[in-house]
Amino acid sequence: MGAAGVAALALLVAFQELPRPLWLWAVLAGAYVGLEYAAVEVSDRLLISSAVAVAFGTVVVLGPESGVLAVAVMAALSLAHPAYFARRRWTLPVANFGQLVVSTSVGLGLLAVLLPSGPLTRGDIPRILAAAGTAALVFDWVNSRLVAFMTRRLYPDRPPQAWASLFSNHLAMTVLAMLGSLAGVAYLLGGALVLPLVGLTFVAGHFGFHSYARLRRAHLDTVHGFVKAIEALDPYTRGHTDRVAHFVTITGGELGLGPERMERLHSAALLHDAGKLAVPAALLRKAGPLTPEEEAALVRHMRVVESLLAEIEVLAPVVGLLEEAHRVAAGGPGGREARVLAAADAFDAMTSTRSFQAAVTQAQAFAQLRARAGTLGADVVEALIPAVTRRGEVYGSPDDASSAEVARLVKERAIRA
Amino acid sequence: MPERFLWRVVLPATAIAGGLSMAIWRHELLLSLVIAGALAAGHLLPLRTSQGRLQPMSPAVAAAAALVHALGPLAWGAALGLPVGWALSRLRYGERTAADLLPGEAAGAAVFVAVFAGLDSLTVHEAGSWLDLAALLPSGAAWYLASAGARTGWTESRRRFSGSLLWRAALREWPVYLVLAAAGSLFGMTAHALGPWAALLAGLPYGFVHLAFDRLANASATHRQTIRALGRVPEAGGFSIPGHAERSADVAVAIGGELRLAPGDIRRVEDAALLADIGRVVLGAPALASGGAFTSTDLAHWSSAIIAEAPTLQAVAALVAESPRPYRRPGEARDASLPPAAQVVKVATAYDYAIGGGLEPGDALEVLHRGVAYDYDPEVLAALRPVLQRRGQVRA
Repeated sequence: MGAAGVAALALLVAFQELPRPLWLWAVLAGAYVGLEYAAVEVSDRLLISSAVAVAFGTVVVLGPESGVLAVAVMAALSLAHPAYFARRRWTLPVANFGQLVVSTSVGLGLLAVLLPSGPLTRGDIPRILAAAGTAALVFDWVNSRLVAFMTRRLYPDRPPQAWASLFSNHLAMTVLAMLGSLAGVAYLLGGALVLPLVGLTFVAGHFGFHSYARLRRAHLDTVHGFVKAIEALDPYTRGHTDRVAHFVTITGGELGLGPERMERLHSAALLHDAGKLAVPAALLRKAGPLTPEEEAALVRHMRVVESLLAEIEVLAPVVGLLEEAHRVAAGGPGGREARVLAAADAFDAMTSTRSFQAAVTQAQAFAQLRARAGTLGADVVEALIPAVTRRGEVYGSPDDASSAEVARLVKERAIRA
Repeated sequence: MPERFLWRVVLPATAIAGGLSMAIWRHELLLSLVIAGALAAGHLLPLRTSQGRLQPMSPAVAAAAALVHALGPLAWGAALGLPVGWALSRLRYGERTAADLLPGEAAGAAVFVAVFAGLDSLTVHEAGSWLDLAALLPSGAAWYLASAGARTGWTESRRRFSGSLLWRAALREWPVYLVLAAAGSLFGMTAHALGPWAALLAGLPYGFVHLAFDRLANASATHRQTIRALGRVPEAGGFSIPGHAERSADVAVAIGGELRLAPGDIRRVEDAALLADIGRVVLGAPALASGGAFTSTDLAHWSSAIIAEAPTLQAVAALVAESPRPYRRPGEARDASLPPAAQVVKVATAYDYAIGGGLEPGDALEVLHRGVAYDYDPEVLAALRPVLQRRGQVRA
C-alpha cells in the first residue's frame, strides 16, 4: 500500500505543476492538517473530518493543473502525527499514507477533469457542485475499499463494514466536498475575506462538537461512577455491573446487533441495578432468602429509581429496556435485547457468590441457562455460551466440590443469622 | 410585569421606529419585507446556547443586511419582523420563552443599526469591503452587550436571582453571537459575487454549527437532568425530605449569585447541593437520616466518596466533603482554607432542612443566625436574606 502511495505521488509530481502561490497552499495545508487531527464525533456512529472541504476547495482555488498534487502532499503531511513517532510502529502510518494518497489522487483527479476550464463565473457553480458531489462519492468509495483491504490484512478477525451501510458518512462527505468547492469559487470571485469567515464558522462548529463529545463522555462517566457506588453497598455484587456489561457486549456481538442497539444495551447493563441505590442496605445485605414483603419492598424501591431515570430523556429507552428485562427475568415475554440483558444478569448471578447463595460452576450455569431457554430464548443462550467459551473465559466456582463447600458455608451462616 | 412592559413599552417603541423608518426608506419596500421575513423566520430556527436559551438568527440577518448596505430596510424590517418573530415564538415555544426574547432582540437591533450607521458614515467605500467587516465587529459587540443588558433587566428570573448573576450568565453566550455574525457576514460578503448561491455558502457551515450547538445543549441538559435525578434518589428511598435537593440547589445558586462567585463555582455549588445527601443511601434507613448516631461529617464523607466515583465530579466531591467544616473554631480566627462555596452549600442545605422541619423562612433564618459564632459564616448568611426578600419570603 505504501508503494502504491509513493507511485501515485510520483505520477502527480510528473504530470502536475507546483502549487502557486506557495503561501496560499501553506495556509490551506495548515487548515487541512489541523482539521484532519480534529475530527469530530457528530453522533454515535459518525466521526467526520472537515479536511475534505479544504481538499476540494484547494483544487478549485489552485486550479486543476496543480490542485491534485497540492492536496496529495497535504494528505501525506497529515500523517506525520507525533503519536506515530512516539510509538515507533510504522505499519499503520505507511498503510494509511498509501490509502489516503491513492484515494485523494483518484477522487480529486476526477474533480480536476470535471471542472470547467478557463476563469470561473457564477454560471459555472451548478456544474462545479455536481462535479464535487460525484468526485466525493468516488473518493469515498475508493477510500473505503482501501480501508477494507487494509483491515483484512492487518486485523483478519474484524468483520468488514459494507459501503452501503455508511450512508451518513457518504452524505457528510458529499456535503463537505460541495461546501469546500463553493468556498473555493467564493474566494476566486469574492476575495480572500471569505476564507477566514468560513474557517471561523467551522471552528465554532468543531468546538461545539468537541464540547458535545466531552460532555457525553462526562455524562457516561458520571452514570458509571454512581453505578460503582451502588455496587459498594453490597460487597457480594462488586464487579457485577462490569461483568454484565461485558456479557451483553460479547453476546450482542455474537448475535450481530447494530451499533445503536449495542450502545443502548451497554447503557442498560450499566444501569440495570441502579434501583438498588434506594434500597435499604439491611435488605441488600440480608443473609438468606427475602420474605415476600421484603421482596415487594425491594421491587418498589427499585421501580422508584427507574422512574426517576426514565425522566432523563436519553435514558428513557434504556429504562424501557430494563423494565422489559425485569419481566423476562420473572418468566415473562420480551424482545431480543431484553433477553440478552436478562441472560447476562442471570449468568453472572449464577457464577457469583451472593449473601444468600453460592456460585455454581460454569458448566452448571450453562446447563441452567439452557433449562431457561424457553424464557431467555434459545438464540440468546446459544449466543452467550460460545461467546464466553471461544474467548477461553471461565466464570464461577472452579469445581463441583468447591461449589458444594461454599454452598454449605453460606447455608450455615444463614442459619446462624 | 414582563408582559405589561412588553405591551406598554417595547411594542409601541418598535412600532414608532418602524413607522419612521418606513417614511424614510419607503422606496426599498421589497427589500425591507424580505429582511422582516428573514428576521421573523429566524425566530423559528434559533440557535441554542450552552445554557439552554434560544437565540433567534437576528444577528446573522442584521450582519448580512449591513454588509449589503441595506441599513434602512434593516431598521424598518426589524420593527416589523421582530414583533412577528415574537408572535411566532409565542406560538411555538410558549409565552414565557417568547417574552424573554423580544426586549433583547429589539435593544440589540436598535443599537446595532445606530453603531454601524455611525461607523459606516466615517468613510466612503463600496458594499462588502473590509471596512464594512471592520465596522461589523464593534456593531456586533454592541448588539451583544445591549441584548445581554436588556435580558438581564427584563427576564422573569430576576425575581429569583440577583442581576449580577444574570448579567454574567448572559455574557457567557458570546460564541453564539460570534457564529451568527460570521454566518451573516459570509452571506453579505459574497452576495454580490455569488448571487443566490451565497445563501448556500453561508447556510451549510451554519447548519454544521447549528447541529453542533444543538447537540451540545442537549448533552448539557441531559447531564443536568442526570445529576438532578441522582440527587433525588435519597428522597425516592425515603431517606430525605421530598424536594430537598432541588430546593437547596436553587437557594445555593441564588446565594452564590449574591456573593458574586465565579460561574464555575456556582455550577459546582449547585451540583454539590443536589448531591450532598446522596450518602444517605449508605445509611439505608430513614431513622438515621435526621442525626442519631451519625454526624453531618459522616454523611458528607459518605456522599463525597460516592460522588468521587464520577471522574468529572471530583471538585464537587471535595466541596461536599468540606461543607460540614465550621468556618472558624473556638479561639481561632476564620479558617482561610475553607472555600466560600462550601459554606454556601452548608447554609443552603441547613436552611432547607429548617424549612422542612416546619419553620417559617424568617424563623429558619433566625435559627441559622444563632450558629454564626462557629458554624455558619455571617457573610454567607447575610447573602441569604436578599435571596429570601426577592422571593417575598421575608420582609425587606
